Amino acid sequence: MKIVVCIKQVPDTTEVKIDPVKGTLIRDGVPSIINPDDKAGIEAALQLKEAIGGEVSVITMGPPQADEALREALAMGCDKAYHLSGREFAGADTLATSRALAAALENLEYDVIIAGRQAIDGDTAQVGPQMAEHLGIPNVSYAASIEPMDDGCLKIKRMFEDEHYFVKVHTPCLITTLSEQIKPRYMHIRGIYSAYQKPVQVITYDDIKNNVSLDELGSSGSPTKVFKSFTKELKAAGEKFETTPEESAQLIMNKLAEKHII
Amino acid sequence: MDVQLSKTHELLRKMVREFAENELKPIAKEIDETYRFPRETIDKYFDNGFMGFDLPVEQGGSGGDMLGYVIVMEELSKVCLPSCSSLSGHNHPVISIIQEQGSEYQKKKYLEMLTSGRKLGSFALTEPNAGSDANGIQSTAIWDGENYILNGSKCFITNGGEAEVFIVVAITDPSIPGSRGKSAFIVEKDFEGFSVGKREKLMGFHGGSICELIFNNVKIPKENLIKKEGMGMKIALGGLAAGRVVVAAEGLGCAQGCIDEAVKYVKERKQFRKRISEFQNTQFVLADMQSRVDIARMAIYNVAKMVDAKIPCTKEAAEVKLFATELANEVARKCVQLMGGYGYSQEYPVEQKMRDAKILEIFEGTSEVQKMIISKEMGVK
Repeated sequence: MKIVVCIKQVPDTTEVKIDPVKGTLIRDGVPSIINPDDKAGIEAALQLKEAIGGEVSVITMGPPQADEALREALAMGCDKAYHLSGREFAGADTLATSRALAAALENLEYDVIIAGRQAIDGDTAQVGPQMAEHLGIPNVSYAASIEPMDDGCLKIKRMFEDEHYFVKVHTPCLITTLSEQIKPRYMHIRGIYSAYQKPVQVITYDDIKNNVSLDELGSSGSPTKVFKSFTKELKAAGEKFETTPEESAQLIMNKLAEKHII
Repeated sequence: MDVQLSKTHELLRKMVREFAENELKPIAKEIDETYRFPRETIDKYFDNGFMGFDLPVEQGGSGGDMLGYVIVMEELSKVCLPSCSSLSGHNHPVISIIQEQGSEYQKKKYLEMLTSGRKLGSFALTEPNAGSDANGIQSTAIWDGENYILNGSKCFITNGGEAEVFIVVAITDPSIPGSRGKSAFIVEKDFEGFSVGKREKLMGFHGGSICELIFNNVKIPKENLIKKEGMGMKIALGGLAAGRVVVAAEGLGCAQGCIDEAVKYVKERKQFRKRISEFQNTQFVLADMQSRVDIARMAIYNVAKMVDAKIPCTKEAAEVKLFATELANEVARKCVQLMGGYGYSQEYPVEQKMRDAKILEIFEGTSEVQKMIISKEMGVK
């Protein structure tokens, strides 16, 4: 089974600080990590390979520094690594990112694509499902586990806060994984010592230009733009009301009018 | 901090630091309080490629180098010194001796046992009457025509109560005094007549398995003699340069771990209406300690590189062992002092580090033995 895992290198947001003047993330000096949901994806892929054999490749779209994340994935046990990199891809929102990745994947062989549910810096949870749409393959998100079935299909446990489902899906398909449910292995010492010996294949715009046009990529291909990022304002404790639904509706309307919101 | 550390080594440090935090730190206090040897940590060492760290991949190891191993020792010792020593006792000198001196039979059988076979190793030289004076060992292994028959005992043996594969040095020819009458053997726990005696009760290292071994007519097959009769002491003491730089790294990690705890504490603790980190004494004591620790680090990494480049470094290895282990003890004591009553309390980790650190000046060649080596290398006699 050929598995491709999509990963993103993100700042370790447990360590991130907010610039008090601009209100934006201070990224300098903050260590970078593989996005936790993506790392869970690597673990799920490696477990699948251990169960039924195959090959696990890892791909990332990112600046040159993202190479470190790929090496970490190789050290965990991935067989091949691809680095989608170039100025054309910079400034991409989720749609442009998913188009770029899908375009790269069209040139690769895969039975299963695994991505993390969402990235800790954007929290959108869009890229995985968007990619599945571009590629025309089924998408099963929020996977807590992936099990191979005898007929070549996969059995996926989809988990939400209060319930879970078991979903059967054919390959090729795209699955997004949950870090809360899948504990990733450490990099193996042997893997660490061979990680920088393995080749990382760089994919440029030139390699995928038949699958996607320039105006669909990067910031020019992004219909959404980040207007502002800021830390949440601490509010005072609110008021609590216990009323009937009808009274609640009127109460809310009154409060909104009071604050001149409506 | 060393600009020459490669990306591989940075990746290694990242992994080991995370491993130490998640796997060793949570149980460090418990194993000290309950005198428990954490077998689960040994299993994790096997799972993640720590065992046979610098053994070539073809022989079942991880293909690492001494510089990387020193980083491993440093990061693990920061968090739990006895658990780090259980690992180092397995790799050096047990695996290293078999790899460098073993016959094809011994390498094939025992290197596999000690890596994928998940058997723990232990090196047994010291006896009740032979510590620094290793030549004073009295255990005998006498050839009876079919096997070597081993009698005697060993003490203070790291991993002694938990290991399955031992390297034992004993007298094979009592008529030859000195090192030429002694030989080294590979002994398995299951050999008839082999037993583990008492577990030592020590000032620190409660999470280690430091034990007495008792040999009662243990039958050692002739294939288990390492190299030749009479080479026992040479084999035992031969790999020691590497062992010294490894222990130096354990001292380095222990010292850094103490400083990190003290820095955290002094930034929070208030006395006389100030954080104690605001007092110049606190700042100066920490600056002094950190400078020496950083200099020790630079020296230790350098000696590790010499080992990797196969540049002879008997003197340098002894120097860093001497320096870093004494530094670890000084730093541990000063950090307890900076933390005052809480430093002395078992609620905080530094008192354990201080108790654990003392052994660093004693095992793998006492500080005095290191000075003997260094002065000899200097030509001073």
